[in-house]
Amino acid sequence: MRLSILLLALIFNTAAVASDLVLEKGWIRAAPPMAKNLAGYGELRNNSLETITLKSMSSPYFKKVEAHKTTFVNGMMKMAHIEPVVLKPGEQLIFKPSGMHFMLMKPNKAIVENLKVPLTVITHKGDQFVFEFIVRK
Amino acid sequence: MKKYLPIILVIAGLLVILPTLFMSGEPEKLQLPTTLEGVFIDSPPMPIPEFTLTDHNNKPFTKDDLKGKWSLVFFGFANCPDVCPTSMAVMDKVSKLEGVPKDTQYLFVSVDPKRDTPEKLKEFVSFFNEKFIGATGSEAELKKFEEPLGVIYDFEGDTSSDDYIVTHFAAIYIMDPTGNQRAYILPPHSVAQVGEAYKLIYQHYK
Repeated sequence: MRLSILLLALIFNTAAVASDLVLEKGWIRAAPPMAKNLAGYGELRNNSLETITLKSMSSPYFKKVEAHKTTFVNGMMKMAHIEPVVLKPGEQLIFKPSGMHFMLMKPNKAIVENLKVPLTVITHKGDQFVFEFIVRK
Repeated sequence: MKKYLPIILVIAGLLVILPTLFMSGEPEKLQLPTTLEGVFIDSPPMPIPEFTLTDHNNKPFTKDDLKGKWSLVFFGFANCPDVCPTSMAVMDKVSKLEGVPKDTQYLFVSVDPKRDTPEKLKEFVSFFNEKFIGATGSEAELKKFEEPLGVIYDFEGDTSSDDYIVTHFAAIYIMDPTGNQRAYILPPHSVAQVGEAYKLIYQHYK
């Protein structure tokens, strides 16, 4: 009995952790083969009751992944590195073209249309989440 | 008589100004709907001097190539990950909209000639649309084209490496068939915004 409760608790706990942070509608804009940097977009949501701070992001298909934000000041494009990415409980960050984006640097394989690209996110607490982007035009 | 002098002067002034306006063929400035944000019309068009760039096929691209048709022009750099591909994709979709003149020319001007060779430009522009033109040139020639348009930019990072970004003015320019600037559209760009603005401007000024 005790074991099953423990098991249940473990299952639920894992389930809770697995959905604490979600990335929905993840996509990467397909770019010409020579592109050294690509941009990924999607909706990142903190479903937990605690603030989540991202420690690192990585993808096996890229050398480096960072969160960047494009802003326009009187039409002048500026890019800032968002470090760290912090999501308050329930907060959703929308990564979209000409706004906040995942900057995917130096691809090590052809990032062609319809390719599924994994993204691993590690939080300051040490939780790990794996999301997926789809490449499209 | 002195009493009427100001009126006489105004009428005389109008007699001089009005025919010039009609002769220049400049229509009344188009009033865009307030829902269209970030679109600025030049009335009369902003003159662009002669310039010579090199296009993605290694051929000269000059002011003469802007004449005789309408053009949408965007300045950027091919390594730009977010803004340039977004605006290029918007221009591609706009080019396929109903009501957008099919003989419109779409031009991407790279402000990063060091990295954007004609070969690279060809790969970049043709990825978005086979008909798009890419061009770049020496700093001096780029300046001739950019200055009247107000295109400003700045290199960030180590420019001796291959890994730097260019902070730049990211408007889409609408050039009329005289080869001069008729309007510009501030980013962020959407297909609806650029498409509607261009159609209204084209209809009014064609």
